[in-house]
Amino acid sequence: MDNSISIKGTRDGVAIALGEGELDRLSAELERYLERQGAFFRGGVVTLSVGGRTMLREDIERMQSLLAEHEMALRTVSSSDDVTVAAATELGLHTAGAERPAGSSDGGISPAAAADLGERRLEASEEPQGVHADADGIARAGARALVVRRRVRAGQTIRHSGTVVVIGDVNAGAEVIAGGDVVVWGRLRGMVHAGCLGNASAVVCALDLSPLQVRIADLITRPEEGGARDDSYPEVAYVRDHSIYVERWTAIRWRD
Amino acid sequence: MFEITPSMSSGGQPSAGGTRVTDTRIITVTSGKGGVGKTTTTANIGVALARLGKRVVVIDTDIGLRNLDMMLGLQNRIIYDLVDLVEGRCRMQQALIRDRLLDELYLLPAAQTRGKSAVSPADMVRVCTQLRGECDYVLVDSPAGIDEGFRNAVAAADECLLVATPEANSVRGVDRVLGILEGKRPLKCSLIINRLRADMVRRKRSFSPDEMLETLDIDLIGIVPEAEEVLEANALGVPVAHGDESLAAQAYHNIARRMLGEEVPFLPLLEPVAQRRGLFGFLKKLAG
Repeated sequence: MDNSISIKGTRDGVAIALGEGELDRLSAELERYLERQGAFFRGGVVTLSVGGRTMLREDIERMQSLLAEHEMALRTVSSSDDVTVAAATELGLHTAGAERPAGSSDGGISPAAAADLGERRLEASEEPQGVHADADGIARAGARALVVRRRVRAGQTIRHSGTVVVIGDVNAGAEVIAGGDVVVWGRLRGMVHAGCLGNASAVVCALDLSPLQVRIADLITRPEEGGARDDSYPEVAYVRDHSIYVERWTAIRWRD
Repeated sequence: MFEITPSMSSGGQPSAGGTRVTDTRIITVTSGKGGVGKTTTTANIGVALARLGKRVVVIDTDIGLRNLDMMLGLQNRIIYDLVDLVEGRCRMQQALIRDRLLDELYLLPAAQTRGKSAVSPADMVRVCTQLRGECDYVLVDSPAGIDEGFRNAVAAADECLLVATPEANSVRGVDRVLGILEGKRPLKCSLIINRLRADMVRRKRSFSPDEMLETLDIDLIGIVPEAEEVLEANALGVPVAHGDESLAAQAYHNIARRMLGEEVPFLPLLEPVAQRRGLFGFLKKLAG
C-alpha cells in the first residue's frame, strides 16, 4: 500500500513520516515517490519521523543517502525509540521525541486520502480543510499563495507548495514550481510546473504565455517553436483528457 | 545612466603620486557567458576614460588566461602580477604597468601560471581598497562564468557594466548574473550591447536593443556596433578607442562620457542607411 509514507512541504523544510511496515518496502516506496515528485523537494532539509520504529545506524544512513540522491538533506530524526535516537545522534543528526506530525494519525495518511496523495499531503502542512472547489468549480490546493513581486531571472527558481503568483516577468532560464496554480502577471518565458505534486486541475495563466516548457502534474508540453509572436494576449494552460491545452483567456469556459 | 558625481576631479590631470582622488569608482565588467567582448570592452573604456583625463587602473582577474595585457600591447612589460601583489611579493606600484600611449592608464595584470583560487574575494577587496583615492576609475575585467573568478571580480565592485551581444544565450548569461547580484548587496548595473549588427536586427535574426532591455530591465549605457576595426585594433595591441574615426571608437567614447554623467545621444546604428548618410558623412564607408 502507498499509505505508509507521508511527505509534506512545511515552512521548516520537508517532513517525511514512515508508517508501519518493513523498512525495505518503505524505502523503495519513498524512492519511487521521490523519483516522481522529487523535483519539488530538491534542496530541502528533511525531518524524518519514524514513530516507535527501531532504526540502526545503517538504516538511518540508508535513508540519508536515498534522500541525498534526490538532493535533500536529512537533518532531524524524530522517534520515541531510544536506539533510533542514539543512532541518529551518533550520525550527528538532530533528534526529537516522537511528535505526531500535524494532520496525520500515525505519520501515515488515511487510506481514504491515498487516492489523492499529492494534494492531501501538501494540504496537511498548511491548511487542514483539504481540496475544495470555489464558486466557479475550480479546484485549488489549500496551501497559501506565494506572491512574488519582481522579475524572476535566469537561474532563479521559485518553489512553493501552494499557488504562486508572480507580478513581473519570468525570464527564459527561470523556473516556477508550484503545488497549485501559477499565475504570471507579465511575460512567462521560463519553465513552469503547476500542480507539481500531481494536481492535474492546476492551471498556468500569464499575460503573455510563451514559456520554454509548461508542466502540469505529470504532463509536459513545449509550446510550438517558431520565435516570438508579434501580438500577445493572456492565455491559460490546463489539463483535459490527459493533455495540456493552451487557450486564449477569452476562449476559456471553466468546467463544461 | 550613471549619475553625475560632482566631487570627481572633472577633467583635471592629477599628477602621478600627487592629488588624492576623493571618489574612486570600482566598476566590474562582466557578462556570464564568455566570448562576448568583456576584455575588449574593458580595454576600450579604460582607454576612453583615460583620454578624457581620468586616471584609470584596469585589473585583469582572469587568472591563468590573461589577455587584457595583450589587447593593451603590454604583455612584454609584465614583471609582477595580481597574484604576486596578493601574496606580498611586490607592492602595488611595482605591479601596476603604465600604458604605452596614455600616461593615466595602468594595468594590473593577471597571473599566467596560477589557478583562480590563488585570489580570494577578500584579496580583491583589499587590492581595490588600496586603489581607492589613487585613481578615478578601477575597471575590473571579469573572467567568463559565474563561479569563483566571477565572485572575485565582483567582490569589490561599486558598479557593474554588463556586456551582452544580441543573442539569446548571451542575454540569458547576463540575466543569470543579474539574478546572482540581486541576492547580494545592491549594485548599480548598466548594460553595454556589444557587436550589434543592424542588418541582422532588421532581418529579425538577432535581438534589437529594445528586446534585450525588455528581458534584462536595466539601464543601457552604450551600444557598440560589430566592426572589424575592433578586432584589428586588438590584434595590434592598440584598442580602437585610441582613434576617433570608427563608429565603434565613438561608441566607446560615448560610453565613457555617459559614465562621467554627460547626456550623450546614442549613435544612429539602426536607422536606414540613406538617412544616416545625410546626417553623418563619415558613416558612408559603413553603408555597404
